Amino acid sequence: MSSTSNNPSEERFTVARTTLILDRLMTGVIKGGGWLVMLAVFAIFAFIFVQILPLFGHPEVKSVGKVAIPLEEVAVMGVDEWGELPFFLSQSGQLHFTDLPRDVETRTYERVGGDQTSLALGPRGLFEVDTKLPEKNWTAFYYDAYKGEIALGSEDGRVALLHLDYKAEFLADAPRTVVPQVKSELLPALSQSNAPVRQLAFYESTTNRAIGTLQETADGETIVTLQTYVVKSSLFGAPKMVADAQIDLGHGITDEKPERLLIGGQGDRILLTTEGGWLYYLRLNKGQLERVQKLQPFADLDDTSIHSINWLLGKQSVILTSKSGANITLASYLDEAAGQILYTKIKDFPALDAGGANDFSPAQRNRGFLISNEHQLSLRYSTTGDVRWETDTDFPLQKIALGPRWDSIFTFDAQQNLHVYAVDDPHPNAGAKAFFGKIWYEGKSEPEYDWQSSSGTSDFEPKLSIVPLFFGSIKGTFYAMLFAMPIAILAAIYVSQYLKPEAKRYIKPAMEIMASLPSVVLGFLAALWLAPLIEDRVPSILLMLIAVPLSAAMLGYFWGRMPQTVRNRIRPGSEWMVILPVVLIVGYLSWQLGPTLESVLFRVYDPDLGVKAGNFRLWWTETTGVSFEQRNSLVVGLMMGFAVIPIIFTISEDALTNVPPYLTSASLALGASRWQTTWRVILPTASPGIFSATIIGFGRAVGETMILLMATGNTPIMEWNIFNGMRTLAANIAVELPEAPQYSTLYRTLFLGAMALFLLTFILNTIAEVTRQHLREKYKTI
Amino acid sequence: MPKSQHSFTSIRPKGEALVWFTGMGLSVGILLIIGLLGIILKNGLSMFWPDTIYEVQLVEGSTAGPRNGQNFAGAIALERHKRLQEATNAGLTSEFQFFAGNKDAYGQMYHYVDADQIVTDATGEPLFTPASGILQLERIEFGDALGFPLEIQLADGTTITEPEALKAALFKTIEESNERLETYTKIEKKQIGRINSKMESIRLEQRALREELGEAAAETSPQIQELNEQQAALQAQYTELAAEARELRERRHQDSLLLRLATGEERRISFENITQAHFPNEMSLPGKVGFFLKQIWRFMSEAPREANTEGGIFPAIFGTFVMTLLMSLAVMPFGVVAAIYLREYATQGVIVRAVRISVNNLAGVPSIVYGVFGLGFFVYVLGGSIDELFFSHKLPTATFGTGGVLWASLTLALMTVPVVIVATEEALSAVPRGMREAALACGASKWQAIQRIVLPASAPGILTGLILAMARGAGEVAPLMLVGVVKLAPSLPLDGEFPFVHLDRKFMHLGFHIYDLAFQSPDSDAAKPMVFATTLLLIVLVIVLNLSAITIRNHLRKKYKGDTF
Repeated sequence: MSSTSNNPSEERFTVARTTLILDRLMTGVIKGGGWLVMLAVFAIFAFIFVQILPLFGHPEVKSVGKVAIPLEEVAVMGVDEWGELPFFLSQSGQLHFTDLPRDVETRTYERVGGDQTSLALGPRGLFEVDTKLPEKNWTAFYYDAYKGEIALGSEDGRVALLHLDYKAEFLADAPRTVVPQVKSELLPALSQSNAPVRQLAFYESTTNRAIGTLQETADGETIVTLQTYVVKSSLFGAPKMVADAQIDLGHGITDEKPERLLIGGQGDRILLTTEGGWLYYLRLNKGQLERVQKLQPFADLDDTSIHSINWLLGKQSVILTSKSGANITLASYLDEAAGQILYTKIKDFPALDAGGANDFSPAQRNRGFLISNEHQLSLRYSTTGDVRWETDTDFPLQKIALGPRWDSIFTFDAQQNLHVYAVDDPHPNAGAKAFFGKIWYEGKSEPEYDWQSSSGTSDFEPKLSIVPLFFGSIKGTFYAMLFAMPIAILAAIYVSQYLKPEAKRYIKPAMEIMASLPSVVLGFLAALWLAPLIEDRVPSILLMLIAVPLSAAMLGYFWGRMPQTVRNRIRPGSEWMVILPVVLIVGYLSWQLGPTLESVLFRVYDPDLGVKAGNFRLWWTETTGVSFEQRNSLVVGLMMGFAVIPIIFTISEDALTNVPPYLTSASLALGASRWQTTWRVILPTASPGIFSATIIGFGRAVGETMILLMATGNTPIMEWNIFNGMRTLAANIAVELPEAPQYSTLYRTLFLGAMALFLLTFILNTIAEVTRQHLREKYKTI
Repeated sequence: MPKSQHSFTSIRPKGEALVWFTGMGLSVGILLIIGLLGIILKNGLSMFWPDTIYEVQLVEGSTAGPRNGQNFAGAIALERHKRLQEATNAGLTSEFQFFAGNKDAYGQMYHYVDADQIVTDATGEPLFTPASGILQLERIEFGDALGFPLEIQLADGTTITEPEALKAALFKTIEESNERLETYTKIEKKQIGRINSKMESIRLEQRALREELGEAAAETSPQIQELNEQQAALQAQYTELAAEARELRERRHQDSLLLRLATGEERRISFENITQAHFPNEMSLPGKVGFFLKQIWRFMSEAPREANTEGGIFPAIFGTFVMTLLMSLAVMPFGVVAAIYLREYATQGVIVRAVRISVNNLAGVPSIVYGVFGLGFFVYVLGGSIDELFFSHKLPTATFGTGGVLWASLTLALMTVPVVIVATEEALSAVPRGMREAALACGASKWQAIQRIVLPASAPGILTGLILAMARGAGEVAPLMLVGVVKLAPSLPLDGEFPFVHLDRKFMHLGFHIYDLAFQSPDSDAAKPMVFATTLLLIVLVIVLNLSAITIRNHLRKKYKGDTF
């Protein structure tokens, strides 16, 4: 049909090159950009996930190498903060240091030649520092690595103190050098006896000092003595430690032969172990010794005897091993019944393989410790009861020391070799058990979920359970939903089914705007306006919650009984205009009648006046035994309820409105009343929509931050009590993250909280969204 | 009555009572909204209204007044019920909170007095008589002063005590004093600043010359001599200006007002401390309205004073504005591109559906999670790397490696990008298919069809999304607390100093200002009016943004309703 002469020129069909190029370019840009945005949005998830991964990682411990240290009879070994200058104290009282050069940047040790297992000694080599103590045969040692204090007991019954401090010196044109500083003091003879000291315990603070000695006389008798010192300040010169009292701990105090002792508290708590595996907790009260507790930690074992006992950081817990190698933590707690501090077993570790520990080294910045016996070296963590790392060495272990930064392990074997291990374990106190499990923390009377990430002191045990935070989030949400759901769903039913369309045009947008009210505004109102307002008016609120719905229902009932002529005055769809003033009046009356109700129902006895008077606050505390706070869950429920009402309302209203109109028409045509239509036809059809509205409202409330931050006391308690507060995941992040050092355990734990929130809301919203999509499909097919 | 008639009227629809019950839900919802907005409106605006100051007489022996006295003057700030310590009767009584000002004299500005401590009139109501001739002074320090003016002493030695003349002189002196303040601020900030920067450049030139010529030769070179002369001239100018500024300062300091407080003591207040004065009990209604409007303007245009409890909130408004603007710049292109991709380019299938649901859900992820990400990624990772690369000379002081307006806006952009994507997608899908097909049939390329037809048609919808995103961003506080908002920023993120936009600066924000005033303020009573006023402003901002979004959306819906291609 086409004639060749009419063929348009080919140029008419050629597209301008620029158009083509632009089109390709924009296609690329949009596709790339689109994917980029999607990726960026999901990268949030990935990034947070990567941040929390190390929390669940296992420690990495690598053998760095060894070096021969030709020293005999090493009694105490310790190491400085940088791991460059370990010291060795021998039984003859000689103090040696080993110079192990270490790169400041890479933290690697210098090695000998190409040998990967031999460490090089630095220019200072193995050198001795004069302790200025007289030459004696020392028989007992006590080493407090945290304070750098060593107490020595001699064969002739004397006690000496050695204070060891490391200092980093920065000299021009030279790398940083670690220099030891040693101070010593030989104490005057402690007891009458000059029998050899077998065991030694030491305590010192700026105000007092206590030294416990266990001596063994030639005729086999054991003498246990506690010598206390106090600081006396004089007009001239520095304050001095002056001997105060000498107390005999052996006779009449213990029933068995004493073996070991430790001093803690303020120098007033003494732990004494005896033959047969008994542990005595003795307390020094104004110079008087009390026997507070006697327990047998290994009572369930065949051999109950205690092989070793050592303080953990903070001196609230002791780590014990039995002869057979059983390993437990014993900690002090406040016993409610006894009304005083007692000791109890809080952790049970896997037993050591070859009997009790031969050396022990506590961590200096957390609740971990290193423990060893002949061939077993084990790094353990007391809070979680976790074995972080363990190895069987092919050399017999003699002395062990844990690097103060929890980054290295030093061991000294029987062949006089020093072995060094590098530890990479940034989050020893983390792990699933720490976050989700019930843990018996020291100082507590039972295992519990607790969150307390920091405190004033450095030897504090952090409590990182996110369970109470999760509970707080759920609790706040629960009370908010309790308040919001009925109002929002009832309003949605009314607006979608009965309200006049003219009114709906204004009411719906108004509700939507309410959904975008900044939560900081609601939080501020909750805390500074609502909380003080209803603090004394709880009975009014209770009355209101009952009276308002009741009055509306009764109004409806009686209105239905009115003659047709009266009923015709109010057109269907305008009922709310009648209810509004009624609700207002009933609400006001309830508010005013609250105090009267209080004085009738919630009476408490006032001991000052000798009469009973109405006081809800006191009544609640007396009746239920739980506390009443000003910023409580009721306030949160009301205000956060207010925040989620618009969300639930809007989505439910949409679902109800979108029910195909012919269903309504058919129902009404069959003679059903408008309520019957709603109840039997609309609600069953739209119920998935209302369900998803509720879920979305729930998700919003769970993640709400500002209202909860401002209107609760932010205490991580686990109680459903409506009259106290809570601490939520979101508020916790807002409070603690700005202060958390980057990549610290707390930082990552807060990321874990964020992850939990993210997952929770994402899953909830997905459920809601899928439900809604199904509903839309359903509406199409009905 | 015939039975049949009765039975006819007795047919009542079933469940009417329950319909009424659902109506209650709506009524309660409406009442809650109105109540909440009403409280904010009333409390927010009452801060600007000149309250009547009453003379309050307490009963003999009462120590509830300022300085434990029985006489004082103050405005009623609050009347509320209070639980009695001894729970004998119903347990509640009335309590008044008075604003008595004069923090320097009384130690605190607000005083709580029980109703039964106040002398009553014949009917048993507490007796309040307006204090005639009382003056309210707004001061830079110590908050407001309330008292009766006795005399004005000017720097030139004149004293004015005659009441009418005093009143006139008072306003005149305040005006003059404020002018002087403006003048010397201008001299110190602008003129002296200019001289300083000139001197600095001369100094740099001198140093360059010295290095070039050598120390000894430079001293005799004509260029250096010339520079020295310039320097001397500038120095002279500086001295002159500094003296002028000092004189003005001095003058302001010397003018003073003697005030007798209602509690009896007299206080002399220097005019340098006074910013405004009014006689609240003698104002006419128009006068009060004028004062009210002026106070609102001052609140919005001035910087805060006295730990944010006095003055205005301009930096917070400005900070919110800049942050929201930057956020819009970031969120707009990305949100729109992603939506165009999802709607126009991607093959519609299970994956796109899943992506769409996920994007939808991201709008429901708690804002604090975005804050956590912003801190961890933007501030620490990105900011830290930028610092190492470009600002290593300033380390360890962080430039971008700490919270700032850039990171805050990016964090909020990420948070609001789902809102924009969803709204844009909705707008794109509302553009009738016929329009696209017509464009393609006319020979337009895909991009041309999108650029010329689809995007213009959906522009209002996209704008709606953006406005909603801005409203959400402007009101959000929790993530900002982690990524760069502060209670008091020393400088604005946008100013006349090169490079004008300071993306690394920390900023103030209306929402955070509310949190900070309400919870971190040293004097919570004094901060309360400020919180309410700030809250009102923030709510008005958010509501205006939302209303405009809704209006645009409604127009859009109407526009496409009739469209059938």
